[in-house]
Amino acid sequence: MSHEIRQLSIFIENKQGELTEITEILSKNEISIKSIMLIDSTEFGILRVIVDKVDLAKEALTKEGFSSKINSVFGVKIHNHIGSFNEVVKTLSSEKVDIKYTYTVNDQDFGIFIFRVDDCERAIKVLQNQNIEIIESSLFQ
Amino acid sequence: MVWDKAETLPREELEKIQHKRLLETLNRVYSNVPFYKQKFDELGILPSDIKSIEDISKLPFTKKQDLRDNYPFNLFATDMSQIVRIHSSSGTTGKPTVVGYTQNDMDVWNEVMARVFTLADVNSKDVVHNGYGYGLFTGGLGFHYGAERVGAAVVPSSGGFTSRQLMLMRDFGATTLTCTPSFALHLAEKAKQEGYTLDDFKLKVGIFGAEPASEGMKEEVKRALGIDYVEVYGLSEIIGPGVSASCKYSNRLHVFEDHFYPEIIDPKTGEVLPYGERGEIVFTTLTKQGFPIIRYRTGDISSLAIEPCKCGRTHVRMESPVGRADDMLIVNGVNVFPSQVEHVLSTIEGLTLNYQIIADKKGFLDKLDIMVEINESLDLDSIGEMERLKKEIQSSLLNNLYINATVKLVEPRSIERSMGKAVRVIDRRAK
Repeated sequence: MSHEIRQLSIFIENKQGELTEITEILSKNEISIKSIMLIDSTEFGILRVIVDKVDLAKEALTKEGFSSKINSVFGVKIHNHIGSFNEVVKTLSSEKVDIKYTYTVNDQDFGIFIFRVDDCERAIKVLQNQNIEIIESSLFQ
Repeated sequence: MVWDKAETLPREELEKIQHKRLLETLNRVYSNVPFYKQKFDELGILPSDIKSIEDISKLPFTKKQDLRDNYPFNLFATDMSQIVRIHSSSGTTGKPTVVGYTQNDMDVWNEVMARVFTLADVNSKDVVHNGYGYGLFTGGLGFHYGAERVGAAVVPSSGGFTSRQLMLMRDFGATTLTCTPSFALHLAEKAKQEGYTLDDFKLKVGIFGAEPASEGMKEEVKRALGIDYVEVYGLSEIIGPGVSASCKYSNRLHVFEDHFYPEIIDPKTGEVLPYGERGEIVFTTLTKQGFPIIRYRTGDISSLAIEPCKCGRTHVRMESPVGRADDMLIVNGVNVFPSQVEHVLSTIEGLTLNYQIIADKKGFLDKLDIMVEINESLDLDSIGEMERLKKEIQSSLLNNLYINATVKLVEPRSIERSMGKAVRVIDRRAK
């Protein structure tokens, strides 16, 4: 039972049609996008996706000239009560786990916080010790 | 070790010799070569107007096109009966350029090549494996006779047949390798594939030239073969290999100034530049008889240093050519060569060596955009990391080349290519 999710970050230039080109490549290779998150600066952006077949996605994108990188992230189930996010962040911070970034995605039934941290394995362990529910990576397969 | 005491002459004495020899050369070409007589007459100059070696700047330049226009022998300054050797370029970009040597020219050539071998500490105890091509190209024979002159045993293997070359290098105990740097790397790779180790060879030094090599490539040759790297520079129009070579104290190359007089000029205006400044290197032969040449524009970009060298030689040292004059860009008054930009990029992690320089106008000022391809060793997942990388490249370009460029990070396939070769420079400024 694994909790580490292999997220793919794709470097993109801010120009027209760039995003379509990536989604075309993924769909042509029958890769299903489970979550998508775009951040940008004035000149370029990073598209972070969680897909069902990450190695195939990377290979297909590389072939078409896109630079991408696979990083481990993990997901925490969002509970619908005040302080749910705070609890997660507080635990990580008290254990000196460095959070690089976090964003939310929605499954049909519930929301998920995705975290990228400096030490994924340890973060999962300390959260589980606090009985915080970590999403199984199989959810995104 | 210095081969010839002419290499250590006090500058004053050297300049006297240079001036005397220049006058002899000018008299020879003025009376024997109609091309030079016509050019000097047009400018109203007589050889006797050259009162010191500095006056050389009054003389007209000679260009590659002049050699083509005078194909094959019209620039020769002696009767054909005096010529003992003829070399020629392949002529892939026009009519071939042809050069001829008298016996005296051959002696000069062998002497300067003997100086090169001595710079590399090669002597009669050594076995020289010569992998330069033998034939019309001056490389093979130039190295061959120079090695014989210092008394070394020469193996004239020429290019090709890599496996056999490796076997001969091992069996004959070659101590010295002479070839192009790219052939040296090819030999090293093939040796590894065929199961050789460095212990199978007795190599201690290589003398490399005939093509440009970046600092990175030189380091790679040294590492892959476990040898010292002596760089040699030359061109057939001047004599062949042996115009200049590096010593172990610096990576600059001593120009054999008693035979070849170097100048650095601004390639756009033709004006002579002071020591230390970069520009096109121009040579005048001082002792050649068969094919003397006056102020020949090499197209190579270099600089000259006059400071004394620890090896004791007094001859000026030229910088290993940093590029071709044709590739030079002038941006707000600063000279920029693509090879310099490439060198800066090669020192920064996370980039491919594929880049493109775009020069444009913004109002009255020039502006420079440099597109740089990222590679995947970089933490692609962080905007902060990318911004940092961009700033690092910009400040490195500013600190090393004194240019203010806007760097744009692009995807690996972004840079335009033509015929499989990346286009390095796009100049959108009005000419």
